[in-house]
Amino acid sequence: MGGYLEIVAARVRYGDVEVLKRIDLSVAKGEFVALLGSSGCGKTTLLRAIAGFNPLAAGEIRVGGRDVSRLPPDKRGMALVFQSYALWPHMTVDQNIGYGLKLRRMPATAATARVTEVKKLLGLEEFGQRKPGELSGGQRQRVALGRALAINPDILLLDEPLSNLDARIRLTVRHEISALQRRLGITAVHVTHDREEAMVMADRIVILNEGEIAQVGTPTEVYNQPNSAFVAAFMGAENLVDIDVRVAGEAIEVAEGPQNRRAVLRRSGRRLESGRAIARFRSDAIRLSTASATSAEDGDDGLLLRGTVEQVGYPGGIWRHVVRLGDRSVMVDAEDRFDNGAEVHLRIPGDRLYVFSEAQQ
Amino acid sequence: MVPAVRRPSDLTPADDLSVPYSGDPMPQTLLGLLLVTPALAIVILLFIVPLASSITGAFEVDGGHGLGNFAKAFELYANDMAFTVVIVLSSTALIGLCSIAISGYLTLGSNPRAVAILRWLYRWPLFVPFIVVGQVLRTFLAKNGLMNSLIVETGLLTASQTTSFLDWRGIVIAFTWKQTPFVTLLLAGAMASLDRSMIESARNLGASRLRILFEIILPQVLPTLMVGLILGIVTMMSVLSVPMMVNAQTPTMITASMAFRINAYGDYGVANALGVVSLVMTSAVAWLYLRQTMRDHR
Repeated sequence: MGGYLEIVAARVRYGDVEVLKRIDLSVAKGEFVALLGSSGCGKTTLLRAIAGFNPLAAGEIRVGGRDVSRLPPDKRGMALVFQSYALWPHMTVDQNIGYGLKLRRMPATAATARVTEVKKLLGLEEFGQRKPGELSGGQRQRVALGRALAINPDILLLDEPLSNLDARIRLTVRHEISALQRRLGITAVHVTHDREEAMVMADRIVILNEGEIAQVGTPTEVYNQPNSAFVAAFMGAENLVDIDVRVAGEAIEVAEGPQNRRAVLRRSGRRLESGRAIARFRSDAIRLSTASATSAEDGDDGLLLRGTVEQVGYPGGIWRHVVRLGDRSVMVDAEDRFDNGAEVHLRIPGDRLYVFSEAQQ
Repeated sequence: MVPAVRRPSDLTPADDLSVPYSGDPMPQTLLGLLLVTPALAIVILLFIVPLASSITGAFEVDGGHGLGNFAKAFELYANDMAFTVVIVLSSTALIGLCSIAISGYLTLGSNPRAVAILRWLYRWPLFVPFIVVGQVLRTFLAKNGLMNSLIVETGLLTASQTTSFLDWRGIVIAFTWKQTPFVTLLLAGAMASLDRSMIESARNLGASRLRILFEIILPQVLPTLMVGLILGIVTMMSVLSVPMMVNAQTPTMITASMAFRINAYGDYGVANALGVVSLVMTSAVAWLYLRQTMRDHR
């Protein structure tokens, strides 16, 4: 695969701890890739390794076919936007943005023109003479982005650049950044722990877990076809039931259990073995009905669970129920409200059910 | 309703015990004053009163008041005053440079072992008294001292070409050696507390370590450097032992002149006048510093 930025068998150690365990990743030119994972999964370590701040214990990082693993950060054609923005408080916005140009000995007139261009691109025209301390969080974030873009990097690296913004601004800045990235056609690697942020911004998502890549795919792929229980849970399928399955050709038979009825699911390319399995599903993928009202149309590519409503809340738009299924409880969103103690049936369509053999976990 | 008097048994887990107990305001105010009194008395008795008496003493001439002591002080010791200013300023410049270099390396050094060794070494002079510094340098810098012996040994100079450093240079070396660790301690602390990513973002754009030190780090820790240097100046202005031991000649520093004035002549008037002169010098530095911080806060 002819990627522009290629990470080949990369390992990073902090002392005796292997933080990144053999990462292989290829990013195409102009692509926006998000590294997604919970804290401590190694996503920032990977970004810093790409940037040149964390040395590789093994492996290679290539840009356009050239090995840059041993090059210092500034020789890699990359610019990093830091989580804390890392603006220099004693310099004005103009000086912050123009510092990289000054280091490259760009003539003053050309540098001024470039700084003006970058400020215009980011809507910072009127702030040139201000110091970072006099700017809002969103403006600072744009200055940090401008400082990185001013030197025309081939690759833009973003380390949780939105995590210090308040929720409302974050939503607009998300779109600003991805629109800018598309307009400039720049290759971008973005680190985030925010699933939705990764989904709306990135062309492809890399989910990391304990220093390893759990799954790589487009937002729809990782959302709808998680390849492991971890990815399914991380992508929001938090509900969990234990089932017994028997794989028979293109069908998966789910045995009658204490909480579920017998069902037959289409296999649809699932890698699964007969035996104990777990099924994961999202709270909004469920049709909830009272136990008495359920008709006989069950069993056909869908799973039917029996439970008791334990708690009801209204977060807005839908009713959120906590339903007890034996010794587990699950969250179920429904248009209608079901009272505490109601006996209910939960129907999950086969394509919204993520089934994994217990041994795979 | 919160009861006016609460027993420990009234406390609930919600009670924030870090908030001072404010049930009875009167005794607490009295207690506070009582606690402050010893410190206040010591400051007044041992500092303000003697300071005031030596300042007024500088203006007392033959039972009356006048500037006679100052006239005499300038007539006899103008050279010493200039000498003091030159010594202190050049030492301060050297201390500044050395402490920037050391704390810069402690912050940006890439060899962890070298950084650790430097960190361990640089503080030693802090624990050596001035008088010992004077003593050590006396044997080290003399014409036949260790430094010249080493130079002669290497063949760079012959024994007849060597000179004694026991003059103004010796004082500057002593002050720099003794005061650099103190300023470095403050400066390295300020540098270490800067957001590390500010350094990395400059590296990311291609700044060399020297540029990072002078363009990114130093401007942000300049107030700390100034505080350190000003405290250093005040200390140097008050050291008697080093000029006495290292520089046994004239011109010498104001402190030595004051001691001489008192010990040889019992002339407290001129000694006090010299004291006021050095107080004016340190006040000038303190004023410069205050003006700078006021500007920064505006």
